[in-house]
Amino acid sequence: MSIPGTESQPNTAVNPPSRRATRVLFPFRIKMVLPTIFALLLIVGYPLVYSLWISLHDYDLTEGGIGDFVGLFNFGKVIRLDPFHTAAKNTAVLTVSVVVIELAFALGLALLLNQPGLRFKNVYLAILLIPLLVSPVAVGLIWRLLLHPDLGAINWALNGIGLPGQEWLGQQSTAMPTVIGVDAWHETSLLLVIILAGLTSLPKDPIEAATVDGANRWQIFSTITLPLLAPVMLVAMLIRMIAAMKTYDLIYILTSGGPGSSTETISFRIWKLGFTALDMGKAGAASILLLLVILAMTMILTRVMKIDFES
Amino acid sequence: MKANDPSNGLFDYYMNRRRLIQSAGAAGLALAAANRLSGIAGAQEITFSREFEGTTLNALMEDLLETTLIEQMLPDFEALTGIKVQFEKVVYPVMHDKLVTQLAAGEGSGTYDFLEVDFYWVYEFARAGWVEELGLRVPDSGGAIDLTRYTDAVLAINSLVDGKNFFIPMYVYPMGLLYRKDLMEDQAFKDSYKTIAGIDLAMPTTVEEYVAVVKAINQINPGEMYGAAMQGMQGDPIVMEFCNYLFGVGGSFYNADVTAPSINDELGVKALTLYVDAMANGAQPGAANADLNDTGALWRQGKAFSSASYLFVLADAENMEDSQVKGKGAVTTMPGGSGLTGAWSWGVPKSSPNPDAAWEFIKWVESPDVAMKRALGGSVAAQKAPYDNPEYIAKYPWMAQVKDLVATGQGLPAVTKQAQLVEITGRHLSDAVSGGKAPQDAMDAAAEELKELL
Repeated sequence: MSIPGTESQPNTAVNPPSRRATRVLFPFRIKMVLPTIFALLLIVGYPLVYSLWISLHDYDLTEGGIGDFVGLFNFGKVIRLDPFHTAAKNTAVLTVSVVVIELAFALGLALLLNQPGLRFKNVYLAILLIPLLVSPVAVGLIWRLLLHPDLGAINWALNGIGLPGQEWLGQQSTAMPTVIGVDAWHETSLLLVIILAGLTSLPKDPIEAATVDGANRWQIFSTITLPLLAPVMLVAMLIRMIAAMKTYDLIYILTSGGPGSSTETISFRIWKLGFTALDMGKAGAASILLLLVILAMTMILTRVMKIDFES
Repeated sequence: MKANDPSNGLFDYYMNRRRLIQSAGAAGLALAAANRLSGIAGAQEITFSREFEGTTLNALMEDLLETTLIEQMLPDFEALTGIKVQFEKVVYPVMHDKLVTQLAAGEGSGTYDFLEVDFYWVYEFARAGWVEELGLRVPDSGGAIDLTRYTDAVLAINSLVDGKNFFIPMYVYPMGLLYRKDLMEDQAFKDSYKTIAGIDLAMPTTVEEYVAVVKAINQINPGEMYGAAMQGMQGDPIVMEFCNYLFGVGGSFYNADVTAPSINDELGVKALTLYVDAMANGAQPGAANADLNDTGALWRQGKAFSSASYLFVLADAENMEDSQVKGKGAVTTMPGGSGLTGAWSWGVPKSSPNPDAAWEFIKWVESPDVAMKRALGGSVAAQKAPYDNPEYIAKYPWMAQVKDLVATGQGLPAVTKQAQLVEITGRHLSDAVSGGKAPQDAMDAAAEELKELL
């Protein structure tokens, strides 16, 4: 039974001010992010669900609309395709190579740019960022010309110093390394920006303390800088890995997946399944498989780096 | 005016489109003036409807001379019909993808009102039910379209699907053997050839002879003159070129009934063996990753004795300012007697927002008068009449060969997914020329996948 005269007063013992504020603010926060959620659902969620839907159906564009439900048949067919195996292998080689090479270069360049008292730092950074500003298609076209066996500047320079020119994109042994090199030229800048930002935001005290204690540069780098930088490098690695696994445009311009299938990536194979073979069911299945692999690798990498960091 | 007359500014479209349009304007107006309101086809006057006045038609077109020629005449079409036409001009490699997404959109829901269709899309588009059967509209075209104006070979390549005319031929691009006629007559060159080959230089009559010729020529002046300009890039480039070798030795993709692949039989493997040999020992460095732009440039630079290529490469070499081989090139049927003939045709998609207005455009652009104007502008005509026009042959002497090239030429086999056939074959051919597989293994692997297309 309530005390007369106090019915209109809120029971603050049960509903303290912070909980009331939460109930008031929570709906507002949701409302503020609703447009973003809606946009994400439309741009990401719907295509994802639709892709999964068609991957479970027989859907050949030349045979009318979406056909019968076939379950995991498309997935099984795709996994058994030899070109898919080759594309998966190529994608793995490309991804590991570009991530390792670009991370190493970016870290090295970031350390150089982060030296105290470095003059013209902004000029160096601006120059190093130029490749990132060029679209992948333009990068492909430019490098195709540079790498031309007869007319390209690369072979001309090699011949000038007495070395033989190479058929960079025309031999199976050199095509993928060449693609990796071009990608490294283009994308290292992105990792440089991320790692440099991380370096400049590291606390100075541990490094100063280590210096006072007599640690040399390598010891400071390996025991202080690198561990502190690990989360940033993880982010950079993930960003680059996900993008590398989806590489398509550079392959399209430089090699069309050739010679043979030596540079064909999974994204390129998915495009061929969808737009050349016109089999949207299998293209959808291959897309979902790629997504699952990327998700799995992301989770593994995050876990490994987290354990390393905590230890 | 001779085709290689440098004062002929009509065809300099690659280097300066504005100059092209300006210089062609006077010629175009003069040609169109006599037929401002209607076309004349023999005794029958062809008229066009103004029923669709105010309509705008959209089409995806390959950015080439043919498109430019038609684009210059579009004001005439608009004056006749009140229909405006807008071309979205793109490079070839992106056309199929853009078209497929539109064609699958459903009836009336697409962006493009009419189509420019390459010969190896015709089965796909027709059997998928994406396009109208234009043959049904022909009888009511008032004489504007008459299929007897085209040869049976042309109709077979890119109009007929399963006995029905789905498309109207637009222009042909036959492939043949381009060669340097000046070098064939140059005594010093012939002597050098004989020193290396041990025999006199003569036009090869078989594919084997051709490969031997290009290999020998490749040794005459290495780095400055190659036996052949070849395009081994995976996909369309390598397959189109290889078809000439395959057909030249009498081979084929499938057996006569199209019930089983035959590309890995003795003839198919022979064709690939010769092709690999030519590319490794008779072509320019990097041929395994070269495309048409590369071979065309090499030809115009005068660094190739020959090329199994398209007729329009020869035409470009005669007309482009930077060409070093004006008046020096000629074309003949591919050794072995048969090469690939490609062609483009007009279609009306079921997703067209304005199919009847689109048909009006096709009637106009393929009416005899307009077709002749296009031919005189440099088009490789799909219709027979231009080849009987002395002015056409005088202007473009190599066009006299087109009849033979088309008559002896072949298209791709009648499977629905010819684009996939090109992808499969191209991948395995590329594997072979880059040393990844032996010819027999490459053709066996190709045959295994080609079986799935039946």
